[in-house]
Amino acid sequence: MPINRRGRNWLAVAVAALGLGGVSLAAPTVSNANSTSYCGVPIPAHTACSYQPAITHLNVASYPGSPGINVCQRANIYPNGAQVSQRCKLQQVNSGTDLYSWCRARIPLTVYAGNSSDYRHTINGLFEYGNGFGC
Amino acid sequence: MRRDKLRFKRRRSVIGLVLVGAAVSAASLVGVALGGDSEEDSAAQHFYSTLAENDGRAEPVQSIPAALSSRLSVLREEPRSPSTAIPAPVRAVGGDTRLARPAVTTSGGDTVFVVPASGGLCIASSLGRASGCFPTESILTGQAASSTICSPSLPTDLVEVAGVLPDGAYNVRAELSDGTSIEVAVTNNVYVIDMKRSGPLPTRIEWDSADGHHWTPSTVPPDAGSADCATPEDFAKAKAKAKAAASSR
Repeated sequence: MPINRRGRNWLAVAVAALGLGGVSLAAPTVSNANSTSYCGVPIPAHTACSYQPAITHLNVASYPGSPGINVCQRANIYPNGAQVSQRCKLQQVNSGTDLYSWCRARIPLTVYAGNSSDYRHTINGLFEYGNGFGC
Repeated sequence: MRRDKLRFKRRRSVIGLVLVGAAVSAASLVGVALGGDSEEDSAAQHFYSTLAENDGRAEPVQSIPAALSSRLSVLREEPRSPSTAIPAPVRAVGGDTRLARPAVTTSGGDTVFVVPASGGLCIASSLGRASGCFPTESILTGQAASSTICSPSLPTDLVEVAGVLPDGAYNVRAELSDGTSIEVAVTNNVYVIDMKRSGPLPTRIEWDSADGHHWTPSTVPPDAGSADCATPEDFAKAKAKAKAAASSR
């Protein structure tokens, strides 16, 4: 049976949610010239929001509330490649220097901000570019 | 009939009062949960918002705060020699590298530094594996662990947990996902645990101190064992693809 356009869209969301453990939920907003915010909405336990494609030197995941919960940031080779970086920490975590060489080579990545707790929480994602990192 | 109506009205009033009471209680609970210790919370929030606004870098601090040096022996030691180079991944974390101290070198040759920062402390390593900043309160209570599941600086078969514990922590152990535990060495207030991805992974770090037993989450996510980390070959392929895409535009 052929899958119509709407069906394909739902299928894509389901594949994203099941296969990648991620959901793209919120429209991203450009917060300033060198960073883009994404996610910023409540997401289920152990899932992640994504933004793609991104050429970036830094990806940040944070939880705006307190006390802190475990959050993870992740970056994969765009569109469905291996994980370039994954780091987790209470409250806020960033990619350290993991993405520098990928950014300089202008390799597009899919970035994720994940809720690694057992409950639904709002997670903020932010990725940065420019600032003299050669990308 | 009228009595029934009255009874129904009274029951409705009672239900209403219960609902209002529950709502007020819930609001209070939310208030307590959100309010917490507002001074500490706002300090931590400020620390994290500064990090986010500052390209992931912590702000420098002029001198090591007494609150930290009194609880972390590594910060009471002589500063490193000015000739000791600070590796680039350590500089990237921000803070004040003039006040940085090397704490421990792992068997993989990675030297982890502690770097004092405004409102907290960062750890960062020469190879870039360990990296993270924590507000002062988290450092003082031992709630300062971070995990690296995939990184170009970490072999793809390893998962690393690194963190800071204040002076006086002893009997430090990592509880693993299979229910067993392993002893964790703490050197100069810093611990680094490298575990094979294919085996049981740390779920929490536990320790004892003069005021009792404590633990903090290892922060390793449950699916860390199945992560498909990029290899240098993946990088080479993706770089060639990006180059080809750029030249075709």
